Amino acid sequence: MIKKADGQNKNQRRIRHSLNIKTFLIMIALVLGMGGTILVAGFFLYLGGMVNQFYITTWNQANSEAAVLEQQNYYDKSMEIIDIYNSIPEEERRDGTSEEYKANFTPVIDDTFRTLQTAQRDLKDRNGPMNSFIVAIDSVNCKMIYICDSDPNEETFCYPGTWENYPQDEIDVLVHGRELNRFDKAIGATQKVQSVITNQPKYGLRCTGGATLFETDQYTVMVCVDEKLSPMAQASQIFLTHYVLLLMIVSVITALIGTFIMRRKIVRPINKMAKAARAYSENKYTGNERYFKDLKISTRDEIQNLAITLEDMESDLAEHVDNMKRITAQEERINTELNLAARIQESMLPREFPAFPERKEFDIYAEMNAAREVGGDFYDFFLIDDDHLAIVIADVSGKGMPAALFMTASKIMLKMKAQEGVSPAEVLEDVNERICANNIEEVFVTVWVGILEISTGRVIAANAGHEYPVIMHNNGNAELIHDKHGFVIGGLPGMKYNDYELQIEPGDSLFVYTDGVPEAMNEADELFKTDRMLQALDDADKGDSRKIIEHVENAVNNYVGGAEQFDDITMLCLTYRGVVNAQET
Amino acid sequence: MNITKKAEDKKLTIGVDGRLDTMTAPELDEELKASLGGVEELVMDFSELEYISSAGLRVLLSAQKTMNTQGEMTVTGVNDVIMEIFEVTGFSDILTIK
Repeated sequence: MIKKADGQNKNQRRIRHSLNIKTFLIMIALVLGMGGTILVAGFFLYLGGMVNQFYITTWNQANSEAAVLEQQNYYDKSMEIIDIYNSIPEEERRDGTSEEYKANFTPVIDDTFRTLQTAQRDLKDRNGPMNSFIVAIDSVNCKMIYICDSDPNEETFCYPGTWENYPQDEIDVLVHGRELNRFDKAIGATQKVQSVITNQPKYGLRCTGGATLFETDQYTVMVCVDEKLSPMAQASQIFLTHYVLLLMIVSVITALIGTFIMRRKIVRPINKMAKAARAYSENKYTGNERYFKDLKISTRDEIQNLAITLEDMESDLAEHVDNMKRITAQEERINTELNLAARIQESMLPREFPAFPERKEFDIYAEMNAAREVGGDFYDFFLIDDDHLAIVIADVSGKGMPAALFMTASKIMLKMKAQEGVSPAEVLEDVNERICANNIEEVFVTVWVGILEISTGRVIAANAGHEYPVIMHNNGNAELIHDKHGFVIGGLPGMKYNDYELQIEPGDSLFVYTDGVPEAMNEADELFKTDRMLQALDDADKGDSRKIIEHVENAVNNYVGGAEQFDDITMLCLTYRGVVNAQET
Repeated sequence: MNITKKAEDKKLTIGVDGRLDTMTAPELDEELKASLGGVEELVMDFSELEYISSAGLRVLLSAQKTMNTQGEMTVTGVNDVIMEIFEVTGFSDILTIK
């Protein structure tokens, strides 16, 4: 169930954010962005150039008209109109387009006027769509007073003497010209150009160029040429429409090509690798199949490098897995052998209890808990003859396999010697000599040997560097016997050991152990210590070896808690019942 | 465990503090094997030693055996806990403890 849910999550994470769509959108955005920028920049440059062209053309035209008009009597006609204009009071002038106002100027339309107008119209016919007119400009009041308009259109024709207001800046440019811009310089202009773009509702957007004919105190009389800008606006619109359409088509085509290349060079190889990786993780360790080997990715870039890296990784991993398998197999074999060794070691210790069911005079129980598979502690007990029971407890320095092998040898030697019926001290001296003779590893063993005379409860014992034994008196507390200690076995040759005697009464128990008991450590690295062991022995039920050991074991386990066991823990307990008691039970 | 070494002429003083057990004993063993050449007087200063296990005793025995052939070895500053271990294991019989 859990695996399934996991798989679903994986698939959810694998939502396809396809690179195809991303590439397509990015390409379109790029092309549109670039095209748009070029359009804006290009359009304004184009527009600027076009407008300038109008300035120059109208201005040139006005100048050539001025030259042609030199032959006409424009001066008198102009002055005549200006005089009439000046003679009309300010209030009457205000409505400059009324018929009443125009009537003031009717007399000026004579042959001279018509000749002037015809000359202008001839020029206009030759020069296309431009309209020309002569005006008197009042720069101070920003007024244009029409002298002679060549416009044939009745609606837009300006009657002589009529006037119009113009903005100050436009008037200034027309009269004085404007500073040269870079377009003017580009086409080689050197004079100030007297051209301006105006947008009067009556005439629409147009460009007016002018040439000064003559000046009076108040007026500048100019011949002006008008050209409408609407055709240019239309051309711009057509240009824009075509450009945008083309831009869109180009962006879509570019995006499609880009996506196609992306797909071939990136998306497809990546998908291939992803598929191979999935197959690999689903079938890992099942065989020697290679998923990354035959991807055939040849993009000659980082993608190909990635594919090669994956291929290398796969073969490295395969090799690694092989190694792991070999090592694991080896470890398993070693573990099996260690377990086997531990079983053999265990079988060497007497483990069947009650050990001597037919002997009612005593009750013996022992236990060893090794810290590793094989340990260095051991105990032993055996009858030397009908009245003598030998007890051995020992602790080999060091741990693991070497200690276990040393333990085996020591145990056999101790038993063989003890069975000869000699005293414990003699046993220890003999075994010490033999071990020292071949002890290249400088391992040593602490041994306590005791021989119980079953009929009397007298124990003869000798101690080679082992922990103090304990006697649990049936009518009192546990007593630690500070016996006479000899040196450890296997340390130095020629060591002497002393026998000593203990007397145990019926109901008493003799408790021997290894240092694993007092030196058991809890999680705070504190030792269990001999005092706690003695306390546990005091608290235990008297008279039953097994119960005594189990009680101490529980006390140790409770103390240690979750801490790791560092040392082997071995205990042996002999409870003496005595001959009389034995017969009674 | 920390080992401090002080050599004067043919006298070598080695101080050991902390715990001398299965984990730390090999370090002292190597240190001793490397520095005992030519030493005639070895002093093991145990005044800062808290605990010694059988593995530590083995290193001590090994050093004692070496010094038996080339000079003498003394153990100083032994506290009650260590002394008890020496007595129980019989090491107090073969070591010169001051």
